[in-house]
Amino acid sequence: MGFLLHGASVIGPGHIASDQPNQDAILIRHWSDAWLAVVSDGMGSKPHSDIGSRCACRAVLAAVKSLSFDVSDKDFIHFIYKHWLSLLGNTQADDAVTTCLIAWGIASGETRLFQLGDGAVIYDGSDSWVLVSRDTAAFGNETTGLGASRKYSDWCCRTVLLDAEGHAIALLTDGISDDVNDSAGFLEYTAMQLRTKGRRYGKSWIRKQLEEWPTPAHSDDKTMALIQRI
Amino acid sequence: MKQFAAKTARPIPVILLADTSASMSVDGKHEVMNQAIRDLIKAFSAESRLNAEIHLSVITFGGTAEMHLPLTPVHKIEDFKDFNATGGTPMGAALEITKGLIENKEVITSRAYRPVIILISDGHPTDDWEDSFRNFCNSERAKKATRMAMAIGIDANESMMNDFINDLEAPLFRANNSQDIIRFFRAVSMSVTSRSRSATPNQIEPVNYVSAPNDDDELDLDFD
Repeated sequence: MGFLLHGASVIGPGHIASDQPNQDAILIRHWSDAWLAVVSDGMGSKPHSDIGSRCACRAVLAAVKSLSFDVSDKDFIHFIYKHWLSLLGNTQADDAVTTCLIAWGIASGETRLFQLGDGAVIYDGSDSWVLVSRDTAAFGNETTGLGASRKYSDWCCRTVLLDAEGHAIALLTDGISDDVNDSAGFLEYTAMQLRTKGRRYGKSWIRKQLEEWPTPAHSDDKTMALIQRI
Repeated sequence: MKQFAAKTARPIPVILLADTSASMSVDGKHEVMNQAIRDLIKAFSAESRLNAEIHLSVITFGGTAEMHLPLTPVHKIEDFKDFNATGGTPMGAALEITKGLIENKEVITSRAYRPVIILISDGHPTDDWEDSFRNFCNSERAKKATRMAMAIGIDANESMMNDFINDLEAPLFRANNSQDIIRFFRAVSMSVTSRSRSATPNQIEPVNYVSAPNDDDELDLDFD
């Protein structure tokens, strides 16, 4: 058994119209004994959120390379935050606020999930759920992230097992998650479609789906990573 | 994948609390307001809905408080029914209805952008409004909404309306005549439509209470 990792990011119509860059970022890595998926969504109202989201992906990669898999949640998050701040260089953290969704797994199927800010982490394994980190009284695009949050309690952390064929996890930025009606159905369908596709073809399939997103007036960038056990 | 996506745009809810008590009939203020709301609907409907879709609800309080117009996408409002001005000013009851609406996460879901709540009144509430007012202002989602207000005439309870507003960019607007009422609605219209066009519709746009164009200033001349 192994793992299949797919992912893609597309710029939203709102940012195309206003000549702004894609403020989402994605990073996927697959090693012989572990894998990593990160998606991040720079806060649209901040001038350097595109830098913030890219730095978030790089900071998580550095954390995974530097720390052992059994590192505590708090130490992992602390490393990411400190490294993110150093990667920003002269950019003010407040100008580069970004969400951060992470799935970090090892060959046994043990997988650590982290979420700061909006978007969704959807899991379908021994049970099914959506990691909820968002204030339930929140409105759209109201979120926290690196550069805004200073509290460990703002993060949602969970460890799950992807130990049977078909078990899957999706990381979605809010450009997708806020418009998805049926999270479980979405994950099951998407995992099934990607099961037979290689990385490059899978990426172009996801891009096509996101570029043809049917929700009226959708404007946000859209990014997803999908990990499944095969 | 597309079959799992929502088929409706993210809304910006706009909730209008309109005083329709008997005093609003003096000098035809309620008629001006009816026309201003119709103009507001027209202006909102003309927006492209590229980034967001404006939804409008009107809650009236005159004699009784009621949902005059349930929260509806403005482009689907075919006929706005005029309201009459009658009875006392049950503002507390209107605030209860508003709180129920804004806290209803099935009607205003977390997809919605930050709502705008507008209070318009020309007098003091005639019901036991204090608890309702406090509950409303302290409710989780009402705290996050942009709250604006227009006090019409010298009898309005400005102290309470000042406590109602929560946006430094939109101070309490005082209206002394029908032109002022129109100015207020135009400013609201511009603020909300700017948000709906913005790439970041949650961000509040400053409200600019510009003078309404004077229709009498137009010379009736027939040339291009």
